[in-house]
Amino acid sequence: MGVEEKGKVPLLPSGVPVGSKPHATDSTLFAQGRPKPLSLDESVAFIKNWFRAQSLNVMAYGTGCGSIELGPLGTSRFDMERFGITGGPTPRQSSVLIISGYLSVKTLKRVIRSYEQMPNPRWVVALGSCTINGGMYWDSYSTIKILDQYLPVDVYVNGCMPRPEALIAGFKDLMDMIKRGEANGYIEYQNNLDWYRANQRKVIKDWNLPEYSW
Amino acid sequence: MSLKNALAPFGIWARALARPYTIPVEDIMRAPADRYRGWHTNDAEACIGCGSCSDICQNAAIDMVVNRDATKGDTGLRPMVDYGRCCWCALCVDVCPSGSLGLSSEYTWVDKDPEVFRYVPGVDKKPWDDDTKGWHGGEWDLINHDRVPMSMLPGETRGQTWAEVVLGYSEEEAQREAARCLECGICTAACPAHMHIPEYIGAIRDGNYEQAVNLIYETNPMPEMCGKVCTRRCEDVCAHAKQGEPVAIRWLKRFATERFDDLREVIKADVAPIGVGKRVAVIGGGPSGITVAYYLAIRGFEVNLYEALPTLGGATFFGIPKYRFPMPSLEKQVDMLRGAGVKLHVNSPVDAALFEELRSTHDAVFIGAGLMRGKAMRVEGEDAPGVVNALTFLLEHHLRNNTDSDKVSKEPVVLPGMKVAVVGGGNTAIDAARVSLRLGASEVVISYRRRKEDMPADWEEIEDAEHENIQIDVQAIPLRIEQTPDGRLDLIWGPAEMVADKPGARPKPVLVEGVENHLVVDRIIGAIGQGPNLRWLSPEAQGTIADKWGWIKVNEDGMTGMPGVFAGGDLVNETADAISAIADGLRVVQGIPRWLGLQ
Amino acid sequence: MNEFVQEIQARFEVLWSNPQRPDLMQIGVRQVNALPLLTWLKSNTGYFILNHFSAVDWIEDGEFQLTYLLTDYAARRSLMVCVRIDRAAPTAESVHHLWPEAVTYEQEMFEMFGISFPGSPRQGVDLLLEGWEDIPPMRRDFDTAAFAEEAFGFRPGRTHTNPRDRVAIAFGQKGFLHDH
Repeated sequence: MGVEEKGKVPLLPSGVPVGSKPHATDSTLFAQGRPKPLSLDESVAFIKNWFRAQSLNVMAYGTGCGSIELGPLGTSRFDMERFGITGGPTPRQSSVLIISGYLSVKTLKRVIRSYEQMPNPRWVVALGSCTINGGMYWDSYSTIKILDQYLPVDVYVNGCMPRPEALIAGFKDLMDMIKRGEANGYIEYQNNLDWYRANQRKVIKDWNLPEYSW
Repeated sequence: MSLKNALAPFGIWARALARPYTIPVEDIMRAPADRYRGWHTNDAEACIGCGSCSDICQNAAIDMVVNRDATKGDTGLRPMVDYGRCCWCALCVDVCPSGSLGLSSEYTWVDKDPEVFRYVPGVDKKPWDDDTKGWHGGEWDLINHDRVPMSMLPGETRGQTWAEVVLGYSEEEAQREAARCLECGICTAACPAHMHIPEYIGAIRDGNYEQAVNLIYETNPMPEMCGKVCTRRCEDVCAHAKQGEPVAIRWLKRFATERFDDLREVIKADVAPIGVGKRVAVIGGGPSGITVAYYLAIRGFEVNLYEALPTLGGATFFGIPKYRFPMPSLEKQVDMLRGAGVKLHVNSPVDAALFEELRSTHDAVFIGAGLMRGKAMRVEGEDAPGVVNALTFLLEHHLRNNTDSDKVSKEPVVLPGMKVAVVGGGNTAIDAARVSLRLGASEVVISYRRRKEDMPADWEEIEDAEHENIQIDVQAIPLRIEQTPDGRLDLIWGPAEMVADKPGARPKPVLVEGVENHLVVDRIIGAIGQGPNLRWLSPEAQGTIADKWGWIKVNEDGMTGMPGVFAGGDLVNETADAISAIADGLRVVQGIPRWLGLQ
Repeated sequence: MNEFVQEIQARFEVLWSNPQRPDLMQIGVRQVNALPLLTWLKSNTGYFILNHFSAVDWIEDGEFQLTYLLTDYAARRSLMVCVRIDRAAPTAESVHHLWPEAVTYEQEMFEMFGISFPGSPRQGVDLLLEGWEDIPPMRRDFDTAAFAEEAFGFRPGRTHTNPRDRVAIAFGQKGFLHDH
């Protein structure tokens, strides 16, 4: 498939590997002592994450057919603002990037550039079948098939296209993940930048993106 | 900037406790429409793994994955849907021949792991498995459930003629019927000979008849016979049979072989002459014997075929009436044997001495002698004149009409104007009844112990008989046969009621005591089965190769307990149909070279 | 519209004509006659709007077909002018001087089919396929599924078993006319 193994597992700020779940061993099944209060760092991280989750700025960038499903989210039925989700006019003022369906190679270049301009923490929500394995564009010469080779995806919302209700469910999942400190795609991207860059360069033949100093 | 302007935004707090304009958050998740197309469901037990869903999917979203063992009627595969591809068009549901695949109305699936959006519906348990809403098909189908009708002689007139009843497909009809095939290959499992059915149907569809006949001959040296009278288990398991009519596999085979008057130039065999210098004797010119003789002869064996009757074909000659399987069709297949170099010895019954001689002069001997003994009805008065066995009746009839044999009685058993009763419910009973009708019988009654749906005969045969005004009395148990003073026969029978037997077995008929019905006829034909007759062998040989009832037991190569003596056909298998005999023959075609160490 | 075809026939050679609808006529002309015909149509008739301009790959004939769809909005009729050009050296005369909007069509056809229109202003400038290195993707000898698998790859972990093969193997299907 031409995809190399990902590099070392990225670490969270707390030093825990991304995606690792504690296993139920004897030592975790039983209390080992008195409950300990959160450390100062943990408390600060918890509060920061809680605030972040309540205020998601979605970049106004529709990449495929799914962007038509984003419109209703702002209307009075779904009213995404009550969840703290609102539009972000430019990449630098946004925290969520929605890949709404298929992504042509030409668009991928613009998406990468937009994503890299977004400030941390930033999250990617992928909609539809196309972002997972190509969808109905699986044999197209111009669309990428596996989005997570090029960008770190925090949440997939499946459907072709997912209804606004499914999108709301996706956002709620994303908010929960942020609160738990699990939506760490941006850290993974930084830690594995070379792997992502190699994949991106493989499909974007006329590479002329700026290299940001991070 | 005035203070008023600076404070203005805080005026929004005046609305902090007001009722919102937007729809409450608990109401926004709408229930899907009744026919919303969400995640797949599948009834894994009803699914047959034909792969039609996988074939039609334009997004290559569906894989057939191994889920269970392949059985007759089930490939053991189940569809796995990749939701990185699916676009919920529901073509897979609309094409599903078993109707097992459906779409639930559930549509929300969020996960951070992209690898999870892939599952086998019905096997991997999901919360939406029992959702009755959604799209489950049934309102229209993408597959054509109705087979192209076969043209036949009208039922009223064909009782007077020996002409073939089924007229066969035209080229256009055959191609239209062949195009219905889903090419899943489930039929090949049910066929005892495992013929290349989807392949030759595909060739017929493409108009490539020569290739079709060659594919048929890969496993069947009597395809014209099978195309006309096969018991066609393939059609029972056809994916189309789940909701509609199966593909007319038998008629398509018949169409392909009837395209050619002489198959000798058409069939191109390409096999190594492994058997040069080896001699094989084949006893019995029925389907199994013809199979062994043909495929060994093209491999270079010197094959001597011994047949007691004046013509080859075995049960397909003397058992099957000519309005179903005419003599020219049989001759065509015998010509193939001659073309392959088989030495045919007709009118040559084998006795114990000749059998020993064959064993000493040949490297291997094959016994495909068939079931030549009609079973007795076991009712009182059975030996009265006018009571005949169906086997004797059909054999005598076919010898009289198709050969110059002198072993026939002075006049036919059934004479014009006679009333005939046939006891039995199998294909032989139907054949005997329909032959009697054509011999001029004024009235023919079939008397059967069980119900019509229990009859072992082909349902098409039963329908054909009814179209020809043959009366079928069911649930009638024969009690005894008496002779009336005017020289006729009185079949006395009692009604039966059906009583449930063991689970899985068909219900059994139990006599209702005290009621006696009379059926006064001129001839009674008993057609209640056939048994083996190995009395032509020496008792020692019988004891070595057969059990005490005369059934022969063979190993996986088709070899009997006597080294170098192979057997097949109705003597060996219990199904007693031609295609099983051919399958037995094919087993021996592999077994004899293996036993002689030629591979 | 047959009279109109007669009128064209009087001036240029019409190879074939095919009335697809009462208001849509398709005609075929030689490549040498294409530009004069289009110029005449634009200057002297109502068909002065280029509605669409595209190509078809007739790989079996070794030709591309250029189709100019001209519309007479006053009469509500359309005319399809079809021109076959050599597939081995696909070059056609640009019509951007008649219709400026043809520039984008010609740019697209250069990218998707490799048909060049000498003199067309944005010839060779990338439209959709930036940095494309393969043969033009709308040519029929371009295998798009194979390209997609090689260039992008599909998510691994899928296996497919052909039902026919599974049955044949499970039940030991054989052929006796040929040695295997």
